[in-house]
Amino acid sequence: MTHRTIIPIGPYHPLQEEAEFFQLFVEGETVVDMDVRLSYNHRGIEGVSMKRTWDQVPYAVERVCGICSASHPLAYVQAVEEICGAKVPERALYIRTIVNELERIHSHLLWFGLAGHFIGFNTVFMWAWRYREPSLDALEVVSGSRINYANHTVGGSRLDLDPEKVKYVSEKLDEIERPLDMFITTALEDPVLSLRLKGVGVLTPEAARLLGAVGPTARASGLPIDVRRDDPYAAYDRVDWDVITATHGDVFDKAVVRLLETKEAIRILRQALRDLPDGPIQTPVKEIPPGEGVGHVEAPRGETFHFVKSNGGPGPERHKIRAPSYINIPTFKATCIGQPIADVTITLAAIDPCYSCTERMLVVRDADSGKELMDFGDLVRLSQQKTEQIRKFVLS
Amino acid sequence: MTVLDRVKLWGLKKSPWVYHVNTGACNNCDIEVLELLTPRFDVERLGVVLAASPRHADALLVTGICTRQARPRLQEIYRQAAKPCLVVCLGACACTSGIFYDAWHFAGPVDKVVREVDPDAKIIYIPGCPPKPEAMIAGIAKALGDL
Amino acid sequence: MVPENLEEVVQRVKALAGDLPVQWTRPLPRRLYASVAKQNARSLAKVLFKDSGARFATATGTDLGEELEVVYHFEYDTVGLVVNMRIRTPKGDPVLPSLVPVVPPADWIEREINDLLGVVFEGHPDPRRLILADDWPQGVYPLRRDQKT
Repeated sequence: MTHRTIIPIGPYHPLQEEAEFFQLFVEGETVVDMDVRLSYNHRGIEGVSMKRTWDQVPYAVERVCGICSASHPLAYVQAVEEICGAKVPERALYIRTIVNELERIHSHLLWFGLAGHFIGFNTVFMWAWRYREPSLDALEVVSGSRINYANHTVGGSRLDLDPEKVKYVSEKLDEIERPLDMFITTALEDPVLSLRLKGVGVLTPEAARLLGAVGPTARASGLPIDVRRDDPYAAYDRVDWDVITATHGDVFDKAVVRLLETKEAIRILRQALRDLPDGPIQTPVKEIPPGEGVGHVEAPRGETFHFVKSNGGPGPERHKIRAPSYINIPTFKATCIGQPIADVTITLAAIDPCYSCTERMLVVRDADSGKELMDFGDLVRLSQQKTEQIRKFVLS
Repeated sequence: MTVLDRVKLWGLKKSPWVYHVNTGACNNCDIEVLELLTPRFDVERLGVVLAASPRHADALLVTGICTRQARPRLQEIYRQAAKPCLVVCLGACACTSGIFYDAWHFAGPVDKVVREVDPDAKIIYIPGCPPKPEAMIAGIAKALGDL
Repeated sequence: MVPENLEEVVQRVKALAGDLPVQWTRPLPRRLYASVAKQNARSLAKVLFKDSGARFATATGTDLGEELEVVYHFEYDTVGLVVNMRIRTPKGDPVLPSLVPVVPPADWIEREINDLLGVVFEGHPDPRRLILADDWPQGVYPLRRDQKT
């Protein structure tokens, strides 16, 4: 009878900033089951939202998650605009697009760096975060802050762009584009990366569809869903761009989808900066009548869904926030079962789980035998060792 | 002496190992902490190293509001940390509670939770939402300079 | 301009719902609301999720005062349609049928609504606490109006 051990993932690994509580049940070297306990990061932000006024809420929900910090407020203001029927000026729609695509770039490059670390390519980590800096600089010039932009407001955009800022953002895009192109080619051709990531953590299209997966996690499995195209918002239906999908649903494809989406983001940004229409950036909104509204946007991790109820009062009666990771994390059960332990960290990372969005928690649970268990650091080391073995094999 | 000189000085005198604890944060502060490792800020050249365990830590970098679920764990980590240990409250959430003062899962603030375990704990505050990496470096340098 | 097949999808969903007593409202072209009695919730969910291939997004639980409400949100990505299925129950009888047997991805959100609102989802395969702390007191529901937390 094979011995079942529980391997907790976490708690406080330096490169996995957030706390999450995963229990993996393994038999030998293979994962046979998985469970997740949330709570650690749960702050009760939906309750906070209900105690604020309509115009205060965007500042609160920006802080649901630092990396999707522009997506949550946009989803919220769109939901409220559905309730009050506000027509957002064209210029504001473009500015919303610019802020959110810059966020996509910084988020995907951040992910790429972390993923590189998990499999032992530390140069990838350093490279990705170095070339993320121009996008953060662009956001800082546009909004005054590298993260938490305070741009989206009910009825429009708080920030405006003058020609100097437009030029600055374009220059920052130039700084990212060439290294990105070079990197995409290298990554796609690197034999070690291929061997390490192909066929790992496969999410089948059926599982993706059944579980409601969204974002690159779904698109890497071939599901052509993207809120920007399916239910267009901001200026996405006014610029040319492509939805990126792949076919195998493995970690490699998820990485490719994110890299190519970063390229598409640059493409969208160049058009938005070029075509930025003149005009006001806000439509005055005096009050929000009773009603309900849906606001959803394609955050870097997938669809962020907000549902807002108004009873005509000074703030939301109810504000439901569902981040993409909430629906994507359960797919980890489908992708990690049957995997060797060495692949667990990269499989989990491939979902790009944003724990703050999901409100997760981390605790070390003891196995039924009471034995010392592996911690997250051990799992990362295992993953990096596997890459080393592959590298030696390829170079031999 | 500029801030950078002072940082280099204590980097030579002492190479602080810092352990990062997220007690329920939005991740902004945490990402900016990781920024410190990247080439642009590169705190490793200044001697700052991320510790893999609280037992090796000279300083705890604490982010987040200290949620109800995180509370006992934060206290446990503080107990495990080698003493003396500087507690750095990073960001508005850790300093006070930020915008979560009336959130139902708020069980902080961080300094109160730590002082329950050790009333004489050394705590410094680096405000911001998030504090810029430069602010973090400056804050830690100032704190270590004052010690 | 509303694409033609959006209307086809709406008609097909309504046709599949057949004789089920559903109150449909459509405040915007891509937003359909379906109010249904709790005993018919699973049947309508089956129409949306299984028979017409919608994607499950999430669910919103609200304390309306006398009643507790859960709105389940389904999406038809090809046409950008969001269908919001609404069910209500008196606060004195806070029990609703779990949709998990028909809509597996509703697992977590029903557990969360149970934590925060105190709705019991009958037939949920795994009704454990999801997001509140281990030491959070039983019977205290932060999203209830009368809850002072």
